[in-house]
Amino acid sequence: MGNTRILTHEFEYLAPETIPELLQLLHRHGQDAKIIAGGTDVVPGLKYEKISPTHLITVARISDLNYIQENETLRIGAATKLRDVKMYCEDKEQYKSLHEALCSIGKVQVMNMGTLGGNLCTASPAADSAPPLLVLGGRVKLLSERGERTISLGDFFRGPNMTALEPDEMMLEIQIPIPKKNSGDAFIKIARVAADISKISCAVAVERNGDICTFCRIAMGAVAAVPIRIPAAETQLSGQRIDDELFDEAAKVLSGDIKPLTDVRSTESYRRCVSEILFKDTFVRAWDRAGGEK
Amino acid sequence: MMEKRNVHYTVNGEFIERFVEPNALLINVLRDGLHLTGAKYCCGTGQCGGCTVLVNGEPILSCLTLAVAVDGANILTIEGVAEPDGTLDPIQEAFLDNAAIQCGYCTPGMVLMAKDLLNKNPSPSEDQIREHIKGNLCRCTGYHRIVQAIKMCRE
Repeated sequence: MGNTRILTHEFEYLAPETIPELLQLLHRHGQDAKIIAGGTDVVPGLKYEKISPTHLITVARISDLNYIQENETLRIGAATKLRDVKMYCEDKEQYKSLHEALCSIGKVQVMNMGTLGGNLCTASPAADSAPPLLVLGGRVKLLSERGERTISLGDFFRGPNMTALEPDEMMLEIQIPIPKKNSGDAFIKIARVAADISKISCAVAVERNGDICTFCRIAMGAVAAVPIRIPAAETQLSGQRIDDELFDEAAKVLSGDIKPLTDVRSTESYRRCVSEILFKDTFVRAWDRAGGEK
Repeated sequence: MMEKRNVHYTVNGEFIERFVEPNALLINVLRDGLHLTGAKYCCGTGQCGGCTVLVNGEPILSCLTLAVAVDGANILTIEGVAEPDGTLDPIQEAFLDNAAIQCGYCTPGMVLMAKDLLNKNPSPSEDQIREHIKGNLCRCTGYHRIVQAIKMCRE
């Protein structure tokens, strides 16, 4: 256990102002460097000695990483503050799950400091923004001096605190395709107190045609090594007329499919037990938003 | 040995210049360097809000902020909330009038969050008040009197 009052680890602090400068620094120091945005994950990581970079590179002064644009895709610059993403989603019919997830992070101070890219790059199994972005079909654009690539968020997470980022690579933006009509999405998490880290979280996005669920994505946080989709339960519901029996069955499939752990926040059996009802509540909310009653 | 960096802040209206190491935390520069001990070190990990200060008008956690990262910023700590002649801010008066303080450890953060909220929304609902101070823990008051105090300052 580290000291949380001071930082004992020593590092060189670099503050590039443009993306090319940042890429150059990553190319030079990548293996031993760590990118810092808001610092709400990186600084505790340094305090607990989970990370010990020789170089800390801040992206806070790169204005080209701070934007929200929407045309055929919603594009959010990786260093956009959680607060700004939340405010953007507030006025929208779509992206309700992302809005609910950001609201659940709660603390005003953390929303003012943390960034969407940072929340994803920390790759916590319990990252609140991850399940909504998974069900909304989120993709991330990664950039290095060698070029750029865009991958699905599902492929981005590789393990607890591990991502697909190469040492010389950075996240440029998060992309979300604009949801279709007759679609709805929702996010619910279970935590001990307000503004706490999830014990377990769930996001659902559906497209419906009357009683038929034409398309469905389900994702959960804190039930596996990474935030995950639950394809087995998605298949159960996609293209089907939704009735209570099928709904119960999908919930059972889901709770059997997850691989929760016991940790400081909850137990394996509690997480598995509560996953069914959490999924049901989240699904119903998304379903209602997509139009009509279940 | 890390090279010290030259940083400038405006703290409570006063221009400050310091040399800080890259791993210096803002809270320690404020408390140990400038003897502004209002911002409290509590959890050190971003859970309690005790170290809250306003940076460029926005509340942040000074125990998770590198001092070099806020170079050039305008910083308000609890010491800058009262008038220079010692006249308390209406929020501070309301905290006293409502006995919204017991041990006092969370109070600087609570008052700054109240100030931030009322700056942005002069007549918040009780829900909005509770939402805004959600990241600030108080283990004495049960929050009721703090919420009462902030309510009294609404327009």
